[in-house]
Amino acid sequence: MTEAGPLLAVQGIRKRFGDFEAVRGLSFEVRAGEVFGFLGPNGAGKTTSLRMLMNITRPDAGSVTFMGGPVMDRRLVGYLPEERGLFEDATLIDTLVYLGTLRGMSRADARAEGKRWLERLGFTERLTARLNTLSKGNQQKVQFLGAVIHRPALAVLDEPFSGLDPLNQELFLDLIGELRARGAAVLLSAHQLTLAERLCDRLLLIANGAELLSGTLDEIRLRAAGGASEEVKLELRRGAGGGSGDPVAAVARVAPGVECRAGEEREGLVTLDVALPAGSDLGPLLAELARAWRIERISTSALSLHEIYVRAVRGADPAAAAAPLAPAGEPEAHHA
Amino acid sequence: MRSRFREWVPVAGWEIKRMLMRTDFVVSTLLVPVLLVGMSFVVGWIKARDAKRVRAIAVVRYDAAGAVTGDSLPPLAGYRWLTPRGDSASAEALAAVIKRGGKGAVEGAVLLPAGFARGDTVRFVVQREGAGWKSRVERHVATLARLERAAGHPVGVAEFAAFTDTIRTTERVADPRVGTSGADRAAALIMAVVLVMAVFGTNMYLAIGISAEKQSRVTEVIVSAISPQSWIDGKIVAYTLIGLAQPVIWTVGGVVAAMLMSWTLPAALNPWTLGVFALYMLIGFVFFVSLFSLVLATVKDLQSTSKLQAYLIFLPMMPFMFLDTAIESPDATWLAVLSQVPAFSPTLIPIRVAMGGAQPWEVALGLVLLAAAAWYMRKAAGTAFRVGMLMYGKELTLPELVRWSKEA
Repeated sequence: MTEAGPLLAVQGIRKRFGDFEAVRGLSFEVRAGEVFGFLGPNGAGKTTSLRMLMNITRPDAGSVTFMGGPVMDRRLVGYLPEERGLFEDATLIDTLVYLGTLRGMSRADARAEGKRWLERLGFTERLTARLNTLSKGNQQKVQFLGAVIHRPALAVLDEPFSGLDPLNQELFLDLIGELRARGAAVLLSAHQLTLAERLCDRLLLIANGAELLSGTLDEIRLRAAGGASEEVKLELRRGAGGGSGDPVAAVARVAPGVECRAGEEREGLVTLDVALPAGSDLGPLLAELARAWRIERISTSALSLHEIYVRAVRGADPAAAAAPLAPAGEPEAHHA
Repeated sequence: MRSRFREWVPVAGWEIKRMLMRTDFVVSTLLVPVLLVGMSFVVGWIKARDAKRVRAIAVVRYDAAGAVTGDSLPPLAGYRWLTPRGDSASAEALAAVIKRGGKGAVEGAVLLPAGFARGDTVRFVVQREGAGWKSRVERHVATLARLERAAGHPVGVAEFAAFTDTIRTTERVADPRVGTSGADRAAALIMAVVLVMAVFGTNMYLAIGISAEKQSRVTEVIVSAISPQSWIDGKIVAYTLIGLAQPVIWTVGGVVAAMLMSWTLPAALNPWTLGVFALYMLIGFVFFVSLFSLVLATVKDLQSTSKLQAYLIFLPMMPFMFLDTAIESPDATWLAVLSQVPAFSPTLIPIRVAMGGAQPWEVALGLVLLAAAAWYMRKAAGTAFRVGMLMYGKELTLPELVRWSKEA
């Protein structure tokens, strides 16, 4: 594997069950240090694809290469399947030691690492408790630990957030973020699109076993918008030091040629409407405005991942199109 | 690629650990030797008590006129003869006394007419049918009758007794073979029975062990970490050790019990034969565990174990149908052929060896075929598990079996 090469490369994989083609020529790559979102509606072929990547089932066609080779070193991969469970009568620490040793760890290392993780997640007093005494959410934490205890280079997580309460979802976001921070690649399948939006560096959206959209979130937004501009509405207040200058001119300095209109100033508050090309980076614009103004409120007409997902999937699946559409294109508010 | 050894060893260790945590397994394994040793103490105590016990038996002898003579019988170890007279010597009076029973009471009575040695009927009075003392006393009276008959002939008692001497014989074995002593034959039969018991006993635990991951939905996690073949190999190793541990512990318990009961252990066991028996038992057990693993790998849970498995469980018992022939004609051609079938060889070949009916090449060929069959079964079990492992919540259908066999 070269330095810049993908950790996992999937090329044209297909899988058929009788007359039904579950996966139709999917191709994608996952790189070290990124979270790759693998999204799609129920029955889109996500789990079947992940099972092929993990060599649990074999593709009818196509190839999967890991670190440039055709054989996946199971010690370097962690897998949290959608269809998951635990040995309910086993203890927490025994389960982690077992799963660790299956991934090539020594018993001592697996015990030490398992103990460290369990203590960190608040199970200090329950190391030798049986798994069937834990709540579903806590069992899911142990399942997650079982998938990553051996510090894999690639973690394949199929619906890791399902069944978790918001606090535990945040915990899992942090844990997955930590995997990425230490250079691991994470292949994530999830239905919680707001979480995926926050976490994923790149995304692949599939339906009926085939690719619909792929790329970074901005690239996907750009494509989903079909070239239309993105409306950004800002409320600016003169700062204590006194705002100065024309906000329209400030916009023109960083984004020349874009359509921009300022409203009347009322009690020190100015509204600004900017029509940016879809997928534009708002960072430079905000930085320029913040030099003279305090940004009180921003709203944007940029499509959320949820909206992109619904539109794309309904476009690809006529049956889904019959369902009522959720309000789309409504500005999503962010407080500064 | 990581060595298979490092993959299946944790699986085997995990299965053994989980089995040792099962109360029913530990109890059933340890209970048998504890019971055997406990029973040996009880039997030993009863025997010691019996050895000290002296039975009181009433002896009533009549003269030719039918009057009670007051004579007794010659002494017999463990028995005390009482000689009632008058009314108490009648069969009815004796029956009443014997019926009452009680500690130190008269246990029975024997009434001997004057012509008991010439065909007159000897009457016994017993408390219940099947009294243990009766046959012993009957033999004693029969000896007395023979002596009385001899006294009526012009031969001495000693000469007459010589008439009943047994003959002396010697035997020359034209085709001597090792390992055919009575002890070897007993060992072969015991091993066959123990193998069948062990297979039966292990089958339930194996079913639990094979279907456990499927039922607890851990299958995908396991086979994403190791190959399905390593997974099934670990199970086969674990359940072979678990299955054989029970008979080994039971045998040790039996030997200890036998020693406590002062039974003489056979000294004529041939080490070479014992080695062959042990090899057949070990590889035979691996074969059966692999065969059942193959069947169990296709089921989704314990409740849906197929009829096929129910029939297969009787496979190790089938050779017992040919046991008579194996003992009487161990070198019969059809039996020689049948004993090469892997499902039958672990029991039939050791028995034929002990009966002197199996040539060394047959023993070697049987072992090779058995080992090859065990190897194939474990591979087939691995394939069946790989293809069928994601079969949750649905029954196995014929089209699926066909699809699996294609994939295998």
